Amino acid sequence: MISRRNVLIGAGTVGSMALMSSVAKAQAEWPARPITITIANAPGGDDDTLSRFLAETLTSELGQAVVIENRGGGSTTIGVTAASSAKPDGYSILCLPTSGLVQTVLRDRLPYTLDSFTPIVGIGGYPLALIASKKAGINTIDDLMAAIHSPEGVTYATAGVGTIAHLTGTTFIREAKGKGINVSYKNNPDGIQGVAGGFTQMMFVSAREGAILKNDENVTVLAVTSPARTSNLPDVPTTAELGYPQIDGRVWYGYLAPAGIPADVASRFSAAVVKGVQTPKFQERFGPLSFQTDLKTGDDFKAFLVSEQNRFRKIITENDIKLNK
Amino acid sequence: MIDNLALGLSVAMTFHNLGFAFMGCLIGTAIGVLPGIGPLATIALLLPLTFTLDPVTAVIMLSGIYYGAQYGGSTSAILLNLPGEVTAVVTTLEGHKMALKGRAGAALAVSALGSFFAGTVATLVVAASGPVLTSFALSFGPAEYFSLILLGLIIATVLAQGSILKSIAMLALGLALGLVGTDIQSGEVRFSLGFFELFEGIDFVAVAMGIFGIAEIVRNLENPENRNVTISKVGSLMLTKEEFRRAAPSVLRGTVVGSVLGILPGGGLALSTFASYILERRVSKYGHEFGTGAIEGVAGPESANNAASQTSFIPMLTLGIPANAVMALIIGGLMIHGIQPGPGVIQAQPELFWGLIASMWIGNLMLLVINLPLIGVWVSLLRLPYRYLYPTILVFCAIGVYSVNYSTFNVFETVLFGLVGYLLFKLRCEPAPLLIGFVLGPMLEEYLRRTMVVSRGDPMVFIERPVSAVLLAIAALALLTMLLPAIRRKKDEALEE
Repeated sequence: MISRRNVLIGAGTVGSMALMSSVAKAQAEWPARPITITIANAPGGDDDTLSRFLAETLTSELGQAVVIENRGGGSTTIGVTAASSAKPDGYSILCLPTSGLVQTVLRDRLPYTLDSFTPIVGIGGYPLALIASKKAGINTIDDLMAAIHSPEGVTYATAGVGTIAHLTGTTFIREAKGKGINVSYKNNPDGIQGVAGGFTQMMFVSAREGAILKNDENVTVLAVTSPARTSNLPDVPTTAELGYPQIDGRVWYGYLAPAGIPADVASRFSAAVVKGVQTPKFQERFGPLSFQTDLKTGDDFKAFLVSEQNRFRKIITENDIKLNK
Repeated sequence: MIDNLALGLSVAMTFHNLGFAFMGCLIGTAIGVLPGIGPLATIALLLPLTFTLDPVTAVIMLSGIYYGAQYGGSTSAILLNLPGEVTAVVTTLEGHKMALKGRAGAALAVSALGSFFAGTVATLVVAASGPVLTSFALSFGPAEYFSLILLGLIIATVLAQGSILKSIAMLALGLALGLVGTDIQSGEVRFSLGFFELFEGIDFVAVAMGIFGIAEIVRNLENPENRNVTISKVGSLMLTKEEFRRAAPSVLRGTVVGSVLGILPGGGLALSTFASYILERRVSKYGHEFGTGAIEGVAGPESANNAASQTSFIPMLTLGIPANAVMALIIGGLMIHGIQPGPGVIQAQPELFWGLIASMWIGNLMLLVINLPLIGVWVSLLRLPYRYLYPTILVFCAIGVYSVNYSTFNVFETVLFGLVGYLLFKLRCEPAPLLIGFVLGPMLEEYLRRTMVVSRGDPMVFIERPVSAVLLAIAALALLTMLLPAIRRKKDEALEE
């Protein structure tokens, strides 16, 4: 199957060279037709919700319909592969979530790399919240530390190997010099249910999800991973406040185009996204959910992606998480 | 509770909200009838529209789409043998057989009436005891799920039609197909043959539509005369007195099974229809008619399905934990409105909570009103000459399967499973156990491995936890009954009759 992919990559390169001339012609009047944003996950996730909301502003800013297309599956690899082989003409944009970037480090046989794309703009995202199971007897950070330092270690729920919750959980337990066992669930809601039922002891969720659980009788929200407390969990301390190192655990979202997109098209799209995120409408919707705006465009965004890749690579090698496929 | 329901009704009965509930139910029915186009994609598409609506109205409309689709799905399952969702697979078993016998109208009617009854009861259950039931759902851990699913698989073989050997073979094949995809615990990909499309396993819609729908078309084309016979006798649209009498107890049992299993977030909805079908076959006096179009086999599972889709709102509303992807999407919609579903929602947003519950019942009533008159329209579809009908079905199947992921891969998958289905027919193998294995197999593995990880490798946990132990005991008993030769001889005799 490797050969099949190589052929695909080859075809992509030849195709994009042939396209150069038509791309040059097209950019003058961009956008002349609807723009598609590919979401590499099923509908309903944060990448989907944020993009659908932004699409409204983008449509009015750019004067063309901005359409959302979900191509989920394969831990984001299906959607990202499809986006990587699209024409770099400014009509195909990819929404990359954090977990999509992790895949480029985790798996070594993907038909794309970060270089297959031109990063356009990163918009920020949500910090993580550390939740623990009251039902399993963990009410405070000290209870949790006792479990982490117990001979059999702590059990932590994740939505699978290589997710941000997994990488953050491993890092946290490692920094605390304890032991932990990853309990993989199909998705975050299933994992939260496992924690609420007392079957799994702790979990990292996004602060948006964490806020739902703040009054739960079975779950306690122990800490947030951001440098400062979040708007939706004002009573929950940061990990640093509790005396533990601040872990850079967060989920972010950004927009990328297939490599070779004309620079002026990229900057117009980027400007429209920046404007969309800065609108009071967007801030009023997502701000209270603890969305932290962190706009990075062009080369800044690219540098950020590379530094994130290095960070993930370090965690993955240190903890020997690499997958074969 | 009366006060609360009154508050709910006062919210749901406004002209505005009734209008959106109706729209949701109508859209839901339409996408449910079209094979493969699921509520997930539709709700995602309509989500931005609800940004400008009042949150109560938005959630009323989105839920309307959700249960409308559950409802509409049975129509194509009964008429065309096309199950677009896990829950519709069981409906094809007896429902389509009934349609072939000329009782399509009755099958559709019993499914509509049974669903309405079940929906009404389940709505009351949600209203009366939602929070209490939540703790039951939470106490159901991986060990309990494992034992429940194991019991389901064993009973499925015990009660299979025809040759036991063949049904075990089908079940095993289904389990094997279920192995394809990412292993949840380790993250490694199994048997994907290098296709990214197989990372999350073989697509259920492709398997179900291929093995049931496409194979059915190939079979009909092979033997055109058969098809003409069935078209000539569409029969009366309404239930006969006899059918009503037979269906009523099944509806009751289905409602209970569905209401209980629907509360379990980890696949309760899917289990509810299988469980109800198996139960009906066991307890009904007409058990021997199963496989030839027994009305109990439609009435029970359809009621169970609808009851379960109502009670599956309980974990979402009280814990903020969605029972399935559609629920997750609805929660996403609520979040954008600044509403946090979860423990506090009943106190903080009584209009939303009780309004939604009241709208569930109103939605069910609307579905009945929409669907009963439509039965005649649907059934007349069967009068269409088959040479027009089958290409249309194929086109809609292809569109539906394609729209799941905008991928032609799924279309090819469907074609492949169509051929498999035809082959199975030629070998006289019932495909239902294959689908049961395919759906339950991955769940069985997931919960087994999770139990073992959480218990740190101690298998005793399965018998130390009382609910799990009881379920395992029943499973062992069922297995024993199958293995006892005397009883088996009896079963063979019964089958010969």
